[in-house]
Amino acid sequence: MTDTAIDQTSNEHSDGDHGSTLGVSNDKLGMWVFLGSDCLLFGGLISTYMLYKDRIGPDDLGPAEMFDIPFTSVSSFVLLMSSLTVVLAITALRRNDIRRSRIWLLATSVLGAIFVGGQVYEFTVFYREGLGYTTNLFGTSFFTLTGFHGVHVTVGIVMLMSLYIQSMRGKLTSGQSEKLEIIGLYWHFVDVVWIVIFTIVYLFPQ
Amino acid sequence: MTATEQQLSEGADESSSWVKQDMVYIKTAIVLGVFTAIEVFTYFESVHKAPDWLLVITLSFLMVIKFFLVTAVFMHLRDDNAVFTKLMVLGLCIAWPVYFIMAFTFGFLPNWNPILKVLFLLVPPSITGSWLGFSFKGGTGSHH
Amino acid sequence: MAIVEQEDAPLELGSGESNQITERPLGAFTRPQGSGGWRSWLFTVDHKKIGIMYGAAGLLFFIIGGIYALFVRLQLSRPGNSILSAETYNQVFTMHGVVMVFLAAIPLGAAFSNYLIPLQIGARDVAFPRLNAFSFWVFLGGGLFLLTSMFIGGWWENAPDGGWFAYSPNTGVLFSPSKGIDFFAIGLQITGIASLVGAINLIVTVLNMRSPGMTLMKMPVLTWMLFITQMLLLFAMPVISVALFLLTFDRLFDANFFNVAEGADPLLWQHLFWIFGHPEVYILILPSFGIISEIIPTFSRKPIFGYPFMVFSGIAIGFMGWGVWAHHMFASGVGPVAVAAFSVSTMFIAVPTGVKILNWLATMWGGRIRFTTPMLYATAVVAMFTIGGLSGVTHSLAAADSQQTDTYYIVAHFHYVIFGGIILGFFGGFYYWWPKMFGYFLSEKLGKMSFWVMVIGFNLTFGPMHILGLQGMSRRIQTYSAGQGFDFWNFISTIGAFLIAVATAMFIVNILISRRAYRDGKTPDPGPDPWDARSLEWMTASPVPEHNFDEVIEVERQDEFWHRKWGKNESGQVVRRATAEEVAHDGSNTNVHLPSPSYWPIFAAVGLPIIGYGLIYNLWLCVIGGLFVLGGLYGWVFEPVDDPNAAGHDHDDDHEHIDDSPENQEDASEEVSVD
Repeated sequence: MTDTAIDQTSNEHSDGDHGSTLGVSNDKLGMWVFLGSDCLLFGGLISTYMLYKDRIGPDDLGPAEMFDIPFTSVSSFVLLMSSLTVVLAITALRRNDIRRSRIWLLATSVLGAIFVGGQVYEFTVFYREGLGYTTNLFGTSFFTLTGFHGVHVTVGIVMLMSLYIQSMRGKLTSGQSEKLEIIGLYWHFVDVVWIVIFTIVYLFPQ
Repeated sequence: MTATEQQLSEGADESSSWVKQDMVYIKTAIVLGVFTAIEVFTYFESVHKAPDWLLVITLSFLMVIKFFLVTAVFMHLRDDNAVFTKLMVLGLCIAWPVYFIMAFTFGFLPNWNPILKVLFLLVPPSITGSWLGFSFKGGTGSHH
Repeated sequence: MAIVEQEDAPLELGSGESNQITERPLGAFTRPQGSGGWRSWLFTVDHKKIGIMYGAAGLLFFIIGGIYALFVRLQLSRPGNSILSAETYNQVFTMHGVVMVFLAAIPLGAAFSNYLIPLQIGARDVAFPRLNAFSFWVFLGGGLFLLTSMFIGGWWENAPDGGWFAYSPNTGVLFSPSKGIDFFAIGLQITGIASLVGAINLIVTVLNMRSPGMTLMKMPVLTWMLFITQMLLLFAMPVISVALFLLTFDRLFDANFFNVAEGADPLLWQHLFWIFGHPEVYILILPSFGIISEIIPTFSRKPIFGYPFMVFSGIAIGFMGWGVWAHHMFASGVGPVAVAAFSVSTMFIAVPTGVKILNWLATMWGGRIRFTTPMLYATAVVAMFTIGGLSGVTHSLAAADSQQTDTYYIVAHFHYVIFGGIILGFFGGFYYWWPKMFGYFLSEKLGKMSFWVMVIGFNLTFGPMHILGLQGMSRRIQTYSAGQGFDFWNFISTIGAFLIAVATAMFIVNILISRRAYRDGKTPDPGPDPWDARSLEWMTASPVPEHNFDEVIEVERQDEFWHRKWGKNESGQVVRRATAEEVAHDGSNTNVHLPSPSYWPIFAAVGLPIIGYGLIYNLWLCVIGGLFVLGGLYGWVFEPVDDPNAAGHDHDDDHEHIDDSPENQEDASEEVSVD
C-alpha cells in the first residue's frame, strides 16, 4: 500500500476514532444504537399497560382512583430538570471547569435520586391503599412499566456516581467529556421515556 | 496544555460562547417546564371537563414537542452526525406502527367501517380514538 | 484500524498530570498474559477466535438438538409407540425447537458475522472487542443454563414443555407446573442479552470501521445481509425480552399478565412473541442468503447479478419482516381486518425473496460453474428454499392456512426453510471458508458424499410431512393410532432423519480426517485464495493472522480483491493481472497493534446463569450472580486499557471504560467545536 494510506489512517487516529468511517466515536454510536433498540422495549411495556389498565372490576382500584397527579407532576419536573443539569455538567467539563462539572454531576444524581425516591413513595402509598403487584391487571402492568423505568433511572444514577467518584479522584477531565456525554445521552433518553409515560399513563383522561 | 485550554485562554470570545451554549440549554429547560405546566393544568377541574378528544390531542401534541426538544437540543441531534438521528428515527419508526397495529388488533378502535379502520392505521390512535367519541380505553375484552 | 503501529503521542494532559497508566489499583486489574493454550481462548478478544468459538458451540448445540429430533422421529416412527412418554415427548420436541433456533441457528449466524464482517470490510477487529467476548460467553452460559434443565431436579422432569413459542396460558404455572418454562424464559433472556450486545457491536463495526473507500454500496452482499440481520436482532430482541419478562413475572411473582381469570388476554403473548418471531425468521435466513451470495459468484466466475437489487431486496425483507407477524395467528381470532391485511403483506414479502432467487439463478446463468462442495450446498439452498418459500406463500391465504395450522404441513414448510435454507447454507459456508479459517481444505470427496446423503435425507424427512399435514396429522402429538394413513410416511420420515444424522457425522469425520491429513502434511496448501474469490477476506494469509491485514486496504470497487487479480486487455477480454499471492498480504507485519485479552468479559458473563438459577431456586444465588456481574463490569471499566507489556498503543476502546488515553483527550477537545 502507499504511504498516503498510512497517513490517512494516522490522521483518522488523531481523532480517536479508529479509522471511523462516519467520523464519530464508536462508543457514542454504540450508545445510540442501544437507545434505538430501547424504544422497542418501552414500546412493548407501554402497549401492555395501555391494553390492561382498564381491565379491572368495577370496584377494583384503577388509575382514576390511584394517581396523585400533583405529586407525580413534581417528580416529573424534577427528572426533566436533571436533563438540564447533566448538559450543564457536560459543557462545564468540556471547558475543563472541573468544579462546576462536579456540582452539576452531583445535582443530576440527586435529582435522579429524588425521582426514584418519589417513585418508591408512590408505590408504597399505592400498596397501602390496597393496590399490590398481583391485585389486578392495572397493578401488574403499572408497576412493571414504571418499575422498568425506575430501574433505568437507577442504573443511570450508578453510572453518574461512578463518574463523580472518578472526578473526585481527578480522573475526569475535559479529555473524558465524551464518557459523560454518552451517559448523558442515556440519561436524556430515560427522561424522554418518562415524558411519554407521564403523558400517556398519568395525564390522558382516564 | 490541551487544545481546550488554549481555546479558553484566547479570550472572552470563547467563554461567551460557552455562556451562550448554556443559555440555550437553560431556555430549553424553561420551555420544557412551561409545557409540563400546561400539561398538568389540563388535569384541574375546569379544564378537565373539556372533551376527551381535545385533551388527548393537546396532550399528545405537547408530548411530541417535549420529546423533540429533548432529543434535538439536549441530546444534540440537531447538530450532531445524522446517523444518530437515523438510528433513533428507525427505532421509533419500527416501534410505533408495530405496537399500534398490535393495539389495533386488540380492538383499541371502535368497531367501525373496516375502510375507516385501515385509514386509522395512518393516524395516531390517540387522535382517531377520541375523534370518534371513543375514550382511550384498553380493548374490548375488559371483563366484569 | 490500527493497521500500523502508532508512535506514542505526546503524553501530557492539560492539567499537567501524566496520562500514562502508572497506577495499578489491584493486581487483579491487569491484562492476561501470554497467548498459548486454553487461556488464549478463554480470555481472547479476537473476533476470529470468538467467531470460531461461536461456530463450535453452534455445531455442538446443533448436534444436541439433532439428537432430540432423532428421539422425536423414533417415537413417531410407528403408530402407538411408547419410547417417550407424553410428558417427556413435550419436553423433547420443545428442547429441539429451542436449541435449534436459539442455540444453533442464531450462533452459527453469529459465527459467520463475527469472523467475516471485520475481514470483509477490511477492519482489524470489531468495534468493541471485549464486548464481543462478553456476548459469546453470555450466549454460552445461557445455552448451558437451558440445557441443564434436562437433568436438574430429575432426568427430563424440568425441561421446558410449552413448544418453542410457549403460548400462554399453557405456559402458566397452572398448566406447566414444572420449572421448565422458567428455564426457558430466563435462558432465552440471557441469550437475548448476548444477541443484543453482539448486534450493537457489529452494527457499530459495519457503520464505523470500514476500510477507506469501502462505501456501503461496495460492501460484499454477505456483509450487507449480516448487517441487516444484526439490525433485526437489535430491534427484535427487546420485544422478546418484554414478553419473557412478563412471563417470568407471571410465573415467579404471581403477576397477572396472562392470568385469564383476571381478564388478561393470552393473545398478548402471541403478538409479542411473533413481533419478535417473524423478524427472527429473517434473522436466521439472511446470513445464509449472504453466504450463498458469496459462494455462487465465486464458483460461477461472474459478479453477483444485480448487486443493488440484492442489497435492497435484503433491506426490503428486513423492513417488511416487521409487518407480517400475525400470519402466525390466523387461527387465533385476531379479526377479519387484521387477517386480510396480514394476508396481503405476507404475499408481498415473497417478492423481495423472489428477487433474490432470480438473481442467484441469473448469476449462475452463463457462468463457468465449478461444482465444488460449497457450490453444491449453495445450489441446494436455492432449490430447497424455493420449495419452502412456495409452501410459505400458501400460508398467506388465510383460508387455506386455517386448515394447515398446527399440522405437519407447517412443520414441513418451516423445516424446508430452516434446514433447506439455513442449515445447508451454513454447511456450504463451512466448506467455503474452512481453508481461510484453518489453513486446510475439508475433503471434497467426503464433502460431496455427505452433501448427497444430507440432501436426500432431508427431503425424505420433510417431504413426506407435507402429505402427512394435508392428511390431517397434527403437530406436537406424542403418537397416533394405526389405520389413519400416517404410518408409511412417518416411517420414511424417520429413515430420512437418520440419514441427516449420518451426513452430519460424515461432516464431523471429514473435519477429523482432513485435520489429521493437514497435520501430517498431506494436504495441499490452500494459499490465501483457494477458490479465486472476490472479497477482502481472501486478501490475507490462510489461516488469517491475528492482525488480519498487514496494511490498510484502500477500496475502489465492489469486489476489490477480484479486480486486483483480474483486468481487461485492449480487446476487452478478462485477463489475469496478478496472482492472488502477489496481491494478498502474507501476514508478516508484526507491528500491528492488537487489543489485549481480558479476564472480565467471561467473569461478568458467568454471573448471569447464576442469577438465573437464583431466580428459580434461591434468591441468595442472585446476590452472588449479581456480584459477579457488577464486579466484572467494574473490573472491566477500571482495567488498564492495554497490557503495558504489549507493543504499541491501545486501540481497544470498549464501551464505558475509564482511561486516560491521549486519543480520547484529543478527541474531546476537537469535539468542543461541535456544539
